[in-house]
Amino acid sequence: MTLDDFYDGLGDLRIMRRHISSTDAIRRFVLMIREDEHFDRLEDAMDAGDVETAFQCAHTIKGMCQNLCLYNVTEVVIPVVEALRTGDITLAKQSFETFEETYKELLWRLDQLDG
Amino acid sequence: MDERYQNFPKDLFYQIINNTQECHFWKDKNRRFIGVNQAFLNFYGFESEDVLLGKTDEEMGWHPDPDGYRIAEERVLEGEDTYMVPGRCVVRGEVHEIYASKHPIYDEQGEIVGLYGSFIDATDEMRLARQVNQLNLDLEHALVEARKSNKILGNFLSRASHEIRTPLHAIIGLSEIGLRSNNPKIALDYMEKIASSGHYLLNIINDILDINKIESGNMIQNPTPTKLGALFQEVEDIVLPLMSQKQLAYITEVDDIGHCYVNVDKKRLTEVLLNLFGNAIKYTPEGGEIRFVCRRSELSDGVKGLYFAVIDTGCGISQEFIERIFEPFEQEQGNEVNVVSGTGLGLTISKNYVTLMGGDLLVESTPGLGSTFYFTIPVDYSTTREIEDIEESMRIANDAPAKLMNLHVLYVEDNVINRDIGCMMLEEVGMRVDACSDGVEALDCIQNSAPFEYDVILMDVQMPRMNGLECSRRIRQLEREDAATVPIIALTADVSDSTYVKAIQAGMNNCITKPIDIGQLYEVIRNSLNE
Repeated sequence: MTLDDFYDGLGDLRIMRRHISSTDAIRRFVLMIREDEHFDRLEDAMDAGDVETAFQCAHTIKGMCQNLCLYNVTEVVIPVVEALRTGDITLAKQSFETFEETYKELLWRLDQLDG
Repeated sequence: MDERYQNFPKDLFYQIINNTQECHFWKDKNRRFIGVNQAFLNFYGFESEDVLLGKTDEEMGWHPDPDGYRIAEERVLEGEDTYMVPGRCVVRGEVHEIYASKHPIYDEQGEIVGLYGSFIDATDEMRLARQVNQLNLDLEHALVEARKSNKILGNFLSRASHEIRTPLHAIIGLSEIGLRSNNPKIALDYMEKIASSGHYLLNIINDILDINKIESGNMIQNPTPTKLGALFQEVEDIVLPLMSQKQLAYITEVDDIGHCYVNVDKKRLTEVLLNLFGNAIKYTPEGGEIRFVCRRSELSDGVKGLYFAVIDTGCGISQEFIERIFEPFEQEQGNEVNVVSGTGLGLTISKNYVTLMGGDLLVESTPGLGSTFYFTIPVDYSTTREIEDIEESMRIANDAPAKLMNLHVLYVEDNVINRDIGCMMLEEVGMRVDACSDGVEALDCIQNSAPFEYDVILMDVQMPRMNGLECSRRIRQLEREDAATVPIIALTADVSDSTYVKAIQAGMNNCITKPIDIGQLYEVIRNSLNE
């Protein structure tokens, strides 16, 4: 999978290239997402009802995706972040399903990108 | 006396007549009262019949139409009987409506010696009857209106669905062409046009809501600095494919204003132009021509404005229809366009939008030759300052990398991906970057550095161990020369009012969002250093 294919439907590679000119660097950064633990920690925190930890993890994922111009992923994590910001874990879980689907697509594409 | 009444008092009939609820009276041949019953006295509020004995109705003054009353009684005195004749009388200053019956009185020789009459007060009944009649009329009127509204609604729904199909066809057509293209750039271009058509479709739905808002007087405009060239491009992205489907020639006569920013309600101006173009395309046959004009202009009071016109070589509009063309749901029948398309609301809404923007949408047309829809709106060229600000920002963004070169920055971010990306972005513009993973490390780094070692600190807000807000507070409390002055910029995934306030309260200078925008970063650092 090319980097263009990876970004297709997940974000905007053109804008990312304005921030970082090196395609190799961009590729390296997105592949680092696979090592990031915040998604798993978010899931665990929501299962445990730990709103504060869940919020910090969701917020970090949001920032990470924004930094990588993965706007479509940012868009689906925002409802989770905002629900956790107000302490509404029930609403956060509802929004989490959509986010989870997109994030898993992201992880799948990362495997294809690395291949 | 009849034997039947042997055991009855002589004043039997008098008792009967005085106990009935109807008003009774009797008069002589000269129409003078010779007696009335108790009900009659009660009706008029008299204590005794002495008030009227020997007097005529004219002398009593209680009939609104005394001549008509007199003539009718004279006929009775000639032998005519009358039954339940409607009439009016005045009682204590109020008009009452009555039903009266009158009969001649005969003596034993058969000569008419007077008349006898009775009447009932039907004022309340007549008032109720009138109210019922009025209600019936109102109901009938409401029913007619409801049927009319139903018909309008039915027409509207059928037309609305057709209007929605037009941009859908554009979307489907562009998608099919895009899918067949092997060139990603062309495919991307088509995707952008599809997105534009999608927005246009959404706007149709919003039209329906807007017409309600307009009619209820709740519509307000929202002017913002708008680049005219970009606005025209957005319109053309939607309408040019539709024009090319009908092989319509497109000519523009636009002043050199594409680069200008003007203060205008962009959304509404775009909708007006799309509506005018849409109509021009619909009503211009294949091979025809559509011309778009936009010129600097002045309104009658010397205020600067922009003149817009959409001119077509279509079927034109009859003079009769022009007079109602801007009314809701009006569409001309019998022209060469066999399919009557559109909601019938577009021109109504457009006219209202143009009026809201301070102009007036007008039309000139010749059947068989074409139409010109045109308007002039005042534009606020006092946005010169805003235009300068916008252009200044753009210059800053272009110059920023050179000006940031060699600045020494402390970059504090806990997430390793964000930290690496941020460092690379900053190093790419020539900044020297030291990175820390949380507030504890950052504080340690500052304390171990020389005063003014760092030109700026970029600090993430949400971090473990010590967050950016706490770290900033502690830096400001350090006893060193640069503690109060070193710019600390918050880096955050969202810049809400509350985040900004918290950052400022913690001693930070400003906030920027991720990803780092170099132009914005330069501007924020410049402002911080100026402070």
